[in-house]
Amino acid sequence: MQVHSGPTTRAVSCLTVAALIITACTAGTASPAGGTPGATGGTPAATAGTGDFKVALIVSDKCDDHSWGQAHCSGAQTGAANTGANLVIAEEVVTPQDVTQQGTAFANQGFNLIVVANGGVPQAVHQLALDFPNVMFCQHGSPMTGNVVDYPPNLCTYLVQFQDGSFVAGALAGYLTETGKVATIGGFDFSVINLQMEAFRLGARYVNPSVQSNTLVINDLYDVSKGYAAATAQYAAGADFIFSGTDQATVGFMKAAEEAGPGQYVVATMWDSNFLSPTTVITSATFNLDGATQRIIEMAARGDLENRHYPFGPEYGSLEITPYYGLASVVPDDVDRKVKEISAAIATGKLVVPIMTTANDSEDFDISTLPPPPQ
Amino acid sequence: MLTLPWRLSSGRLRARLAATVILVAAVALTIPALWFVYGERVGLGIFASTITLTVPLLWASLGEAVSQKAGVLNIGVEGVILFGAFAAALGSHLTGSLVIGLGAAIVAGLLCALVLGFLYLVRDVDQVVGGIQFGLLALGLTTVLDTPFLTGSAGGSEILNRVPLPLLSSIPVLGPTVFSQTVLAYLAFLMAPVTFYILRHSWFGLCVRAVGERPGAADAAGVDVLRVRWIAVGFECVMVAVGGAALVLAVTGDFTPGMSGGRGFIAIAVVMLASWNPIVVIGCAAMFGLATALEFQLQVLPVVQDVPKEIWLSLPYLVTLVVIALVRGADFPNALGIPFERLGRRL
Repeated sequence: MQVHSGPTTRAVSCLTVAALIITACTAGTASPAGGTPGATGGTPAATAGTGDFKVALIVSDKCDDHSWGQAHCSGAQTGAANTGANLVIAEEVVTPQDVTQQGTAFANQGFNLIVVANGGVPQAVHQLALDFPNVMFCQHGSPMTGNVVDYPPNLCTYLVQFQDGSFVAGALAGYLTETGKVATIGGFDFSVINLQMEAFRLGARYVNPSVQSNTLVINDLYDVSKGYAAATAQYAAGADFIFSGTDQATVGFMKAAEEAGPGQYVVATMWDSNFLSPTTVITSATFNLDGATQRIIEMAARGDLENRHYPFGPEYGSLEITPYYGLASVVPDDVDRKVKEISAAIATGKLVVPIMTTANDSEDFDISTLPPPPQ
Repeated sequence: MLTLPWRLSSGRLRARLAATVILVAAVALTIPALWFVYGERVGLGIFASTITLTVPLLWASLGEAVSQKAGVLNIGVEGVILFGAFAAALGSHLTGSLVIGLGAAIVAGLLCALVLGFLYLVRDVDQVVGGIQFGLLALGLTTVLDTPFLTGSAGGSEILNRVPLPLLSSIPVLGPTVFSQTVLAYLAFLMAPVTFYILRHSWFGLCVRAVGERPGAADAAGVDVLRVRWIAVGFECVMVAVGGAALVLAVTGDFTPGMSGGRGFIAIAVVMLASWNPIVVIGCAAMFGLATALEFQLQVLPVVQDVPKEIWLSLPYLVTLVVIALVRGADFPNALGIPFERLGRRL
C-alpha cells in the first residue's frame, strides 16, 4: 500500500475527523419531545412542559418505527404532558457505550429521571446509576429479576409481561389457522424476544394441540428486506400466521404476506400496525407498552418511584391486542368469544402464562398443566 | 495497493474461472434440489427472495466492475449505497413520487462521484483509506439526517409495482415469479450485457481497460487517463446509488440507518470473483443473494431446521470466505488503486 504525505495527509486527516465527528454524533440523536432535533449533550429546547422535573428517555429505536421505539416515545410524551415534566428523547441509542455516553450527558445536565428502553444494556445502566447517585435510572427490557439487593438505590427496572398478550395472539392464530402451521420471526435469540415468541407458539398449541410452529431468527430488528426474505420462507413452508419478534423488519413480513396472497397474516407487536397493511395485519399485540413507560414517569414525578423491579401485568394492559379492523370478517364470533375468555382467565389469574426465555421452550411445555381452553 | 509481481498464466486463469463457474453452479443447483425435496412453493419462495436480494447487489457490482477496470478501487461503495438509499427515501417521501426518488438517488450518486473523484483522482488519497472514511461518513451523516428529514416515513411509503412481462410472465410455474419484477430489477439485469458491451466493444471501454492496465501507455497514446477515470467513477457511483435506491424503492419503502448491511463490501468481492466480467457478475451476485435467502429458508425446512441456526445465519459469510480464497489468485487490473502520475509530474 502506497502512502502519500503532504496534501494527501491533510485531506485524509480532515475526512477522518469529519467522519469521526459525524459518527460520534450518531450515538443517539437527542431531541426534545416533539421532534425538534438537537445535538447530543446540547441544551434541549422546552417543549413538553417546562417544569422543574426533567426526564430523559434513551430508546434503542426511532420514535416513528411503529414498534418498540414509538411505544416508549408515546408513553413518555404522555407521561411528561400529564406531569408537566420536561422531556428529552434520545433515539437509536443501541450499544452499551452509546448508552453510557448519552446517559452521562443527560445526568450531567441535571436530569432527574433517565429511562432506558433497551434490554441489552443492563450493565451500562447499572454503572450509570453508580456514577450518578442523584439521578434516578429506570430500565425497561432486561430479563426479569426480582433480586434488587445489588441494585444501587437510584435504579429500578420494569418489564411488561409480554407473554400475556403474545399468548392471547397465539390462541387467536391457533383457532384461525387453516394450514395448521404458525410461525414466529425474531430479531435475535434474546430472552425478552424469546418469551414473546414462545408464548405465541404455546398459545397456538393450547387451543389447537395439532398445530405446528417454529421460530426463525434474522439477526436484525430493522432490516425490512431480511424480514421479507424470512417471511417469504415461512409462508412458503406452510405457515399462514407469522408473529413478529422484530421492530421495523415487520414491514417486510407484511409485504411478503401481501405477495403470498389472501389468507396469509401477520401479528405485529408493540404498536398498532394494521394501518401499514390492512389486509395482512390481523391484530397487534401492543401490551399497553406505552402505558407502562407513562406510568413510570408519572410515579417518578410524584416521588413514588422506588428501587425495585416493576412488572406490568394484566392489570396494566399486558393482555392488550388490537381490534381486527378490516379483517374482522376473518374472525368468527365464537373464536372472538373464546379469545376473550382466555384473556379473562389470564387477567383473573386462572391461567398463568409461563415465562419461556429460551428458544423452543414451548415445544416441551405440557399444556395439560394449563386449564382447559374454552369450548 | 500493491501491484501483483506476477500475472496469472492463462492456464491458471482458466482454472480459476472454472472454479468460479463450478461454485456458482453448485450454489444455483441448490434451488432445484430444495424444490425437488420440499416442493414447488418452497422453490419458488427461494427464487423470489433470491431475485429481490440480488438486485441491489447487482447494481452495485456492475458499477464497481467498471471503476475497478479503470484502476480505481472504490472501497466507499457501502457509503454510496447509503447515500443513494437515503436520497431515494427523501425524494419519494417529500414528493410522493418514486420516480423523483430515483432521480434523487442518481443526483446523490453524482455528488458522491464528485467527492470520491476529488479524493482519489485529484488529491491521490489512498483509495482504501479514503473509501473506508467515506463509508463511515456516509453512515454517520445519513443516520443524523434520518430523524429530522424522514421522521414519520417508517414503513408507510409505497414501493415500485411489479410489472409482469407480456408472454414471459405466463410461462407455467416460473413465469409469474421470475418475469414479474420491478423496473429496477429488469434494468439491473439489462445493464449487465450493456456494461459488458461497453467494456469490451466500445472505444470508451477500451480506454477504461487501458487506463486500468497500463495508464502510462494509454497516456502516451493520447488517452486522457484522469478524464476516463472520472467518467468511470461517475458511472460507478450512479449505478451504486441506484442499487441503494432499489433497496428503498423496490423493497422497504423506507430508509433505515445502516441498511446497506455490508452489500458494498460484498459487491467488491463479487466483482473480483467474477473477474470483472459483467455477465459473470450476474451469477456471482445471485449466488450471494441466494446464500442470504437460504440463511432464512433453511431454518424452517424439515430436517435441516434441526441444524443449529447459527450455521445457516453464517452462510453468506462462509460463501464470502470461499470467495476470498478463490480471489487470491485473481488477475487484478495492473494499475488498480494506483494514482496516475505522468512522467513524474502529478496531474
